[in-house]
Amino acid sequence: MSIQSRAKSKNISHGNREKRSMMFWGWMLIAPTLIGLLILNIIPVIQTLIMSFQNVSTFGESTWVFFDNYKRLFEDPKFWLSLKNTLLYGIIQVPITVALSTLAAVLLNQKIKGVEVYRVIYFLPMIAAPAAVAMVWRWMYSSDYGLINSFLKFLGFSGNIEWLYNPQVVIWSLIIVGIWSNVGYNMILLLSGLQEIPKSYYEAADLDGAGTVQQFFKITLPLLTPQLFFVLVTSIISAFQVFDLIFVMFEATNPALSKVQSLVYQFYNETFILDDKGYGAAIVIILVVLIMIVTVIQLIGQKKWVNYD
Amino acid sequence: MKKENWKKIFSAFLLSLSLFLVGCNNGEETSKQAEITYSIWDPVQLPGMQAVAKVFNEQQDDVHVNVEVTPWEQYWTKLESSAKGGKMPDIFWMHSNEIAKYSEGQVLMDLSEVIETSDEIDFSLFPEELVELYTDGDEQLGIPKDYSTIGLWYNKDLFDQAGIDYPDETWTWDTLLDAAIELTDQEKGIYGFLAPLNREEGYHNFIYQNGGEVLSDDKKQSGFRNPATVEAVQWYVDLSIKYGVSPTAGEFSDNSDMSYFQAGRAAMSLFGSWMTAEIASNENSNEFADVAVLPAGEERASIFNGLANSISADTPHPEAAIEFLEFLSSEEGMILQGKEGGAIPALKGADVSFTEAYPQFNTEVFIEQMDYREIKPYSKYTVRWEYEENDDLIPVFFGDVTVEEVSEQLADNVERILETE
Repeated sequence: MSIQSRAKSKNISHGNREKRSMMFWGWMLIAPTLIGLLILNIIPVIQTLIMSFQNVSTFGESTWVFFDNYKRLFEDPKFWLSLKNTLLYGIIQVPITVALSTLAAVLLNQKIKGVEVYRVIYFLPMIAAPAAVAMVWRWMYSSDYGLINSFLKFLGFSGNIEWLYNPQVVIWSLIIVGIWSNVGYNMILLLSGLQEIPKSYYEAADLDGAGTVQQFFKITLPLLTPQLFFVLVTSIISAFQVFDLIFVMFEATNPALSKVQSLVYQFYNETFILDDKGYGAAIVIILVVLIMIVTVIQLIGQKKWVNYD
Repeated sequence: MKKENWKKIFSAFLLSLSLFLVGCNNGEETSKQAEITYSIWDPVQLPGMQAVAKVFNEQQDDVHVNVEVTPWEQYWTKLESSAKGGKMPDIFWMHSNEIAKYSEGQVLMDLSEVIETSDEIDFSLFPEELVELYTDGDEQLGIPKDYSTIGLWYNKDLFDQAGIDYPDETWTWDTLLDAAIELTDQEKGIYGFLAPLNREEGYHNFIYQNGGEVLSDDKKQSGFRNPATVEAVQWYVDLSIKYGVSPTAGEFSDNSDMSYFQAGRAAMSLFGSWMTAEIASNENSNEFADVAVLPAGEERASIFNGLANSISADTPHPEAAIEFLEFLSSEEGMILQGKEGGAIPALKGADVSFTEAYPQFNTEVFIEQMDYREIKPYSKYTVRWEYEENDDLIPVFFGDVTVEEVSEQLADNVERILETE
């Protein structure tokens, strides 16, 4: 071996060692997160999948029942009702939330006095604990003494809406709280998107004589699509997972509960109240599949409307 | 970044990790004194339990008891996962809804030997239904801690205003209904009686008073095939649907039965003995409330139930836990518990200490009703059939269908669960 080639091979092995040590440190550094993800998310997901094919015994041996839990699901009218409620909630709550948060973001992107104060006010529902939010709304919805019915009476309406137990109304009561508590968070995300749009575009549009409305639809909206897409995806996922609001606002003896009960609520009930963990796992697996399908459709669909330039 | 820096960061990480682990390890014994945990779910009963633990801790030096409250909603989830991980509290409360699961899982200590050899525990003085409830074969898995019956609470002010005599032991269903009709004042939003969709503090009492049953004795059949059961539930539902002397099930989702009562908007309501503390804690209801025995139907009956203290099968301190359990179940411990007024002590003779905590109420009726007590219906999967029963009765409480019309379906659903037991 010539001196040159020896030097070269030494170089290579040195490079390899460095690469390997880089790899090592790379893994070391993501280890805390990775271990956390594995223990807290990935392993439980796999366990849930396994449990959905079992008749789970709390302390003893679980027995394999294969697709029995799923078969039972498809024959369970409560499951279909929960699925319907979940979809209805998502289909109505998400578009309204996204539209309102876009509107709020655009308005709060203006130069108004005390804009920070408004931003804080809109964001507050996000900071408040969902259970507390639901509790306060429960008081406001009270048909006898509630703030909302009193206000409706003040405006001259009859004000006797049974927000919390009329089977036709309850889903709307839930949707209203869902919108109220999510607008602020989405607004902040969209606001950050708005602030990335160069001012010069608007100046140029002004010179060309475009009005505010035209500017909104021709400049703001197209350039906001990446943030809108993100907001849409996360909103749908969280809407399909609605649980805490229902849990606090509607008690187990509420006669109208079946009209708001979501898939996650049914999962909670079957798993932790009725102690049927296999069946509960099957419900939640269906929900995961549902969310995955909707998200994949959105990822494919985004190519048509999201503008990344 | 240089390699040296990574090393520093890594060693800092390791250092903090080891500190964390050392911190975790602190639970190890530091002295010879055995620290044991007594886990309960009811914050209202915390003072009573702490009073017992305090006296026990002062009496001897070997064992120190810490009382830990976990709210009902999280209590069972926590107990279950701690049982699976072999880290159960040393001694804890057990409930009739859950005992079957824990007994099957064999995670509770068999106490029969303890009871036989103990000088402190006289097992004949505990209600036999409760003893049986916490028995599995020849294993005794819990010692009854307290019992509860249901009373007819009423608002003295509203009775005085209407000029009606207070409820007493002469009352029947008819007296109750007549008085409730008279006491109802729709303009003022005052109801004569509260009849929510509630089993233990509601229609189950009336079922047994009518000679009906919730489950058959062999726990294989639902009592809703029995006309007496159907009749009693229909009578109860009619209080809100037909006579309008009670808010409807829907209105109860706006305001709970307790808030109606404490706000002075209800003349009468059924509440369990465990609610006494709640009624006494409100200034108004403490003034205007009192309690009587339940009215008689075909016969007299009051649903009765009780908790037990159980010990973990694999506690590292079995002797310490047993010693504390003996104290809890002794007359001294029972009286200490009763005096705080959280619950009625299970031990015969010590139960009167509960009534001494509430001189303002006629709480003796709770003990009196033990003469015609009816154990809260239970089987292995109590929660599951209770859920079905509740679900099938919802349209009935809406007034859409009668009890008769759903009874067949309800019985089928309940029996489907009983079959799996």
